[in-house]
Amino acid sequence: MSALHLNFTLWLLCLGGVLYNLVVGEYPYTWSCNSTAAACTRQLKAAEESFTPHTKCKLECVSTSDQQDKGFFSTRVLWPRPKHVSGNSGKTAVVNVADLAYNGNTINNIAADDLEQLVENFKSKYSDSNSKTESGDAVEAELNFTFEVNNGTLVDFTDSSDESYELTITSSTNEDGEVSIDARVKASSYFGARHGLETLSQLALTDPVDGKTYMVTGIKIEDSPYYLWRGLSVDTSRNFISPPVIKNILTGLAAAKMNTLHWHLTDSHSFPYVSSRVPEMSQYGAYLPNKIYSADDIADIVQYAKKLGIRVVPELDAPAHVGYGWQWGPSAGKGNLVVCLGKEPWTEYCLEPPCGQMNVVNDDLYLTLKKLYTDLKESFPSDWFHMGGDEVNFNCWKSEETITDFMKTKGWKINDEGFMKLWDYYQTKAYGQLKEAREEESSKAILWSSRMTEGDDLSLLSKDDYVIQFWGTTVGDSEEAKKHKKQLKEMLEKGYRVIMSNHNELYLDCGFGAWVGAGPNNWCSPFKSWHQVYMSDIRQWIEDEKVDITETKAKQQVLGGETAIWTEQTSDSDIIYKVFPRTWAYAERLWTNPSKGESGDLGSWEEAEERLTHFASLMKEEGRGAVLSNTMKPEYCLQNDGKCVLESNGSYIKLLHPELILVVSVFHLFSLYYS
Amino acid sequence: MLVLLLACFPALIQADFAWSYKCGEDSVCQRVPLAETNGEYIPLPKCRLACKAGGTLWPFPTGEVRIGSNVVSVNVGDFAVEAARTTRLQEAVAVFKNHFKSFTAAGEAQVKVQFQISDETSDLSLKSDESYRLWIQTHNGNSIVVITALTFQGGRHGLETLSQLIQCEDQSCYMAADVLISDAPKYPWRGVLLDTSRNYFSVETIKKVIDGLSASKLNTFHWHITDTHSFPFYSKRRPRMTEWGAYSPEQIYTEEDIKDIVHYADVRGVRVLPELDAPAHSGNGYQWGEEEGLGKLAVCVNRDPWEKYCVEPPCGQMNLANPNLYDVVEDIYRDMLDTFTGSAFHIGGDEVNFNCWNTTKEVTDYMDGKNIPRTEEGFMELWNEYQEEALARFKKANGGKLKDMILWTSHMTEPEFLHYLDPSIYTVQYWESSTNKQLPNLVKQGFQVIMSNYDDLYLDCGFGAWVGEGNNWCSPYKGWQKIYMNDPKKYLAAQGVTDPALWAKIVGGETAMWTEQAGDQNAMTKIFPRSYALAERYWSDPTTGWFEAEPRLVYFNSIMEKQRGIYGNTLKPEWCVQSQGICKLNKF
Repeated sequence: MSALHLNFTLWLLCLGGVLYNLVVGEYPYTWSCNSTAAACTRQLKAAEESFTPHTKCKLECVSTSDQQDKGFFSTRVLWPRPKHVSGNSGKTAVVNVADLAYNGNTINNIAADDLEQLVENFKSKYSDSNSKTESGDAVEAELNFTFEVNNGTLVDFTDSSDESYELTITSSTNEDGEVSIDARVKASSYFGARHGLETLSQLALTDPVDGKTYMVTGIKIEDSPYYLWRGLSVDTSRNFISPPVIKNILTGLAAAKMNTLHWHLTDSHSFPYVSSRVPEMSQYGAYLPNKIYSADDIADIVQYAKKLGIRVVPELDAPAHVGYGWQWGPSAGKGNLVVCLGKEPWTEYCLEPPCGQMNVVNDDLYLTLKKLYTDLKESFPSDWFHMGGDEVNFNCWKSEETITDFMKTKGWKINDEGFMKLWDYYQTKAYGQLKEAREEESSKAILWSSRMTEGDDLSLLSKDDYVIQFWGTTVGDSEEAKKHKKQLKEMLEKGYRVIMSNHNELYLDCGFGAWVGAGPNNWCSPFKSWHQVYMSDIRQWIEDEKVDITETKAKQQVLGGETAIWTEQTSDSDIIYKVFPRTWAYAERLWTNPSKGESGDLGSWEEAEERLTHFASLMKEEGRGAVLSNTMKPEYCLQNDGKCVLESNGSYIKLLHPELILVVSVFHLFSLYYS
Repeated sequence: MLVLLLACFPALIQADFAWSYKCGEDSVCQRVPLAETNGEYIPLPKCRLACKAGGTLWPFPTGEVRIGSNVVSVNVGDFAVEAARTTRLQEAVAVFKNHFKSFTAAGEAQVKVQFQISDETSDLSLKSDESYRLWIQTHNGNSIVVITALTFQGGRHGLETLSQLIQCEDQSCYMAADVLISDAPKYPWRGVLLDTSRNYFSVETIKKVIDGLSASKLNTFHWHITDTHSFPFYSKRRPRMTEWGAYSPEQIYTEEDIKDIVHYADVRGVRVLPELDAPAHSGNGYQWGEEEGLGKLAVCVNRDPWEKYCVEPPCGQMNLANPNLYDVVEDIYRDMLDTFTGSAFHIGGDEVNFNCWNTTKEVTDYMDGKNIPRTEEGFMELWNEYQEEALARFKKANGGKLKDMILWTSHMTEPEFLHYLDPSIYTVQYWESSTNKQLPNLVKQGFQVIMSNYDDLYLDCGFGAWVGEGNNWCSPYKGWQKIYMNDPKKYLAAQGVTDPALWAKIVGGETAMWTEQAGDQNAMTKIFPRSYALAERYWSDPTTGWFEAEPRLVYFNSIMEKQRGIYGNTLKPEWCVQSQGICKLNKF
C-alpha cells in the first residue's frame, strides 16, 4: 500500500505541481465564453489579446437564459446541482483564500471549534500561490466569511440531521476601487454548514495556468437534499481494502455531499473485523494477520467520516454469506456454527465460491451473534444496522442432517415452505439478539431484498422494523426480471421503506471479465456507464410502472439509494476508479433528483456531462483530497466544452463503429459526386 | 525461521493466525490449519516454489523445464555476479537485484551467477534470437547459476526467469536449488501500445508500463505519441508543433525524456517503437503553417459536426495539397530518428476520412489540377501519393535506409487497394476484427502481420461511452481469458488458411491502450494483468487454454504487485489466491 501511495503522490506532483511554473507567454491559447450555450472553448489567442484562464471563463460563463433565473441553476461548475440558485453576477475576482477573514458564527453556540475547523479545512483546499501576483494584474479582493449556524456542534449523523443550507456571496467596491467579498453560510446544523462550504469551494477555483484563485462575486444558493439516504456500499471481504483507501473514498463521497458509507464488512471469503468479544473470528477469518480492521482502525475511519458528515453503517451479512472466520466452533466445544463451508461442487450449495451458511439450529450461534452485535454497536455509532439476508441456499441446509432433523422435530416439511420457516426462525431470533445487544425496543434494521421479501413471505418482516435494500433489476422481460419488478412494486404498495441498489444501474463491479470461468464477462455485464447511474430514477420508475402509491408516500418510503462495489475483482489498486466518477453521478441523482422537463435540458445526462467532467478534474487536485477517478474524456474535451458530443445530442445513438463511419462517409462522398 | 516471522509481523503471533500452506494433491498449495503443518508456518511463496515445477513462471518456457523440489534460502543482494562485461548487462543485473532489496535476511546458500552471452550489444529486431538457458545447481551450501544466451536480450530474459524462481515473504527469499530451463519465444514481436495524445502520461507512468512489459518478457513498447487531440512530442527542428499541440506547456516529451525512456527500456529488454500517425489522426499541433508562410498543414482541424469529417472529435487530417507538408514531416522524422534508435518505425495510416478532403476546396482544387477524379479510387490515389512521399522522406531522413516499417490496417490494406503497398517494406498491424477477410488476404499476399484485433486486444473497451451515452464502441470489456486465447493460427484456419508457412507471416501481437478514457491514475489497471496474458500467448504459444494458466497468472499478478509495485486490475478474491484451484466452474 505504501508503494501505491508513493506512486499516487508522484502522479499528484505531476498533475498538480508542474503547471505553476510555466510562462503564459508560451501558451498560444485562451478561453472564451459562448453565452448562449454557457460553454467555454479554447481559442487561439490573437497577438494583442489578453489571456483569459479556463477557470475564470468557467466561473463567469453564465448563459443568457440562466441569468433570467429559471429557479434552478445559473452556473456550470456546481456538483451536485443545488435546489435553487439566483443572482449569479457572472463576474469573478481574484482572491487569496489563505488570507480569508473568518468572522465566526453570528449565532452563539458552544461548539464554535467544530465550525472553525470546517473553515480551516476549506482554506487548506487552496495553496498560497496568489501572493505571486505580478504587478499590473488584477488586485486581490478581500475575502470575508461568516457562519449563521443554529447549532454547529459536531454530532453523529442520524435520520433527523438537517442538511439544508443557504450560501450567499455579495461584494462591494470602495472609492479606491478595492473589492471586498462577503460569503455567508446559514444552516441549522453542522451538516448544513459543511455542505455550504463544499459548495463555496466549487465557486472559488485555482487556475492551473496562471495559478490564481478566481471567485464568483455574487450568488445566492438555497439548497437541501431530495433523498435522505445517499450512499455507497463497499465490500471488504472478497478483497481487503486498507484504511487509507477507505478514507480516500470517504473524501470523494463528502465532496459530492453523500452521507452514508455502507460497510459490507464480512462475507464467506474472509472476516477482517476484529471482535473483542469473539477474537477467533478474525484470527480464523483474516486473509493475513495484518489484513484486519482493529478497533483503532475503525474508530479512526468513523471519526474521519463523522467530520465529513457521513455515517458509517456496518453490515454483518447472515445467515448466508458467512464462512471463513466461523470455523472455530467445534474446537471450542460449541459445535458447528456454519455448515457447507468450502463445500464442493460449490455450484450446488451457493452462488459463488467459497460456500458457507449459518448452522441456524445451533443455539451457540445466537450467543455469538449477540456478542458480535454488541461489538459492532460499540465500533459504529450508526443509528442503523444492516443484517444482510441475501442469497440463502436451501440446498445447503438440506444437505445437513442436523438441520433436517431439527426441522422434523418442529414438524416442518423438508421443502421450500419448511426452509422458509427455518429462515424466519433464524431472522426472528437474530433480530431479538440485535435489540438486546443494542438495548433498544425496536432496532432500525436493513435487509437485502431476497426470497423473504417476495410475495406473501414479505409479511414475515415488520415494515416498522426493517428497511429493504433492493438489489434486483428494474428492467427487462425475462421471468427473473418480472419477478424482481413485481417484488419492488409490491414492497412499495405494501408500505415498506426502500433503499435502491438495483444492480442493472447501480452495481459498479459489472462489465469486467468473469472471475469464475471464462465469461466472456461477469454476470451483471455490461459495465454500468455513468449515464445509466445518473438516470437511475426510482420516481420515474414508479410512474412508468404504474405503482399504486401516492406522491407523498413514495417520498416517505423511498429513503434513497446506494451504488455498490462488490470486490471480487477489486482491491486497493483499482477500487477508486470503479467507484468514481459514477458514484458522483448518483450523488446528483440523490441530492437533486433532476427530472426531465423541469426546465429545458435539465434532468438529462447531456446537461450534466460537462459539469461532471469538470467536477472530476477538480477532485484530482491534492487539496481536494486527490480522488483520482476513472478518466471520462480526452483532455481536449475538458478544454473545449460542447466539442465532444454527438450531433444528434439527446437521442440514444451510440458511437458508430469506425468501419461503418468510413462506409458512411464513402457512401456520402459518392452521393455528392454523382449528384 | 519462525522467530523471524514473529519479529516481522507484529500482529502475527501463532495464536492470532490459524493458517499455514501445504502442497496437496494435484501439486496445488492450499491454506490449511497450522496443525496440519505441525504448527510451523510455511509461507505461500515457499510452498509455491517447491510444490509444482514452474508454478511461479510466467510466461511458461517453451523448451526443457526441470526444477527439483529442493529450495534454499538466499540473499539476492549478496549474489556474486561474474562476466557481465558491458554496463548494459551490469545495469540489468542491478535492476534484478533491486527487485529483492527489501529482503535482507541472510541466506543458507552462497550464490554465484555466471553469464555466457555471445553478444552483449545486440539490438532487437524481428530476427533477434531471444533464447536462453538457465542452469542452477546447489551443492554443499553453494549454488551456481549459469545463464547462457546468444544476445543481451536472451540473457536478460534468463535473469527474469531466475527472479521468478526466487520467492520471498517478510525478510526471507527462497530459491529453487536445482534447475535446468531452456527457453525461446514463439513470436518475435510482443508488445503493448500506449496512446499519449488523447490524454497525457507522465514519464513515471510510462516507465511503470515498461516495468510490466519487462517482467513478462514482452519486448515492445509501442508509443502512439501523437494524434489529432494533442501533439506532446517535442520536435527540436519544429518546436511550434508542441507550442500549438500540447495540452499545456508542461505536458510534453522532451528529447531528454525520450532518451531516458529509451535507455530505461533497453536495459529491460524492451524496444520503443515510435508512431507518427498520418495522414489522418493529425490536427492540433499543425495549425501554425499559415503564420509561418507555409500554408495550411492540416485541414478540418476541430471542424464540426465532427461526425461528417472524422471518427471521433476533434477532426483533423493532413493537407495533401500542400507540398510544404513534407518538409515538416521529414523534420519530425529526423527528430524522432535522433531519439528513437530502434530498428522499426510505425507510420500510422489508419482511418482516413475522404469526406474531409472532399469538402476542402484546397484539396479538391489540387486533385482537379492533377486530373485525379473525386471518386473512391481518386482519393486512394491521393492518399497513396502521401504514403509514397512520406516513405521517401523517411528514407532520406534515415540516411538512405528504411527500417522495419509498420502500418495500420485501413482502407488501403483491403484486398482491392493492397497493391499500393509493398510486402517487402511494410509489416501490417492488424486492428480489424478477427473474422475480417483482410487477415487471410494479407498473409497470402506476403505481408508480415502484427495482431491487434480489437475484438480481443483493445484494452479500452467496455466502459461507458465518452461521446454520447451507453457503452463505448468496442464493448464489452475484453477479459484476460479472451486475450490469452488470441491465437492467430486459429483465426487464419477459420478463414481457410491452413498452411503453416502462411501462419508464420504472423510475427506477433500487441494489446492496445487507447486513452480517451485513461490517464496516469487508471491506465495501469487497464493494461495489467491483461497484457501478461498476451505475453504468454505470444511467448509460449500454449496448446493448453486459459483455464490451465489461471492459477499461475493469479499468482504472478500478486507478485507483480508486491515485488514491483505494478498494480493491475484485481482478478479474484484474495481467497482464490490463497486457496488455489477452487475458484472455478466445475464444468471446465
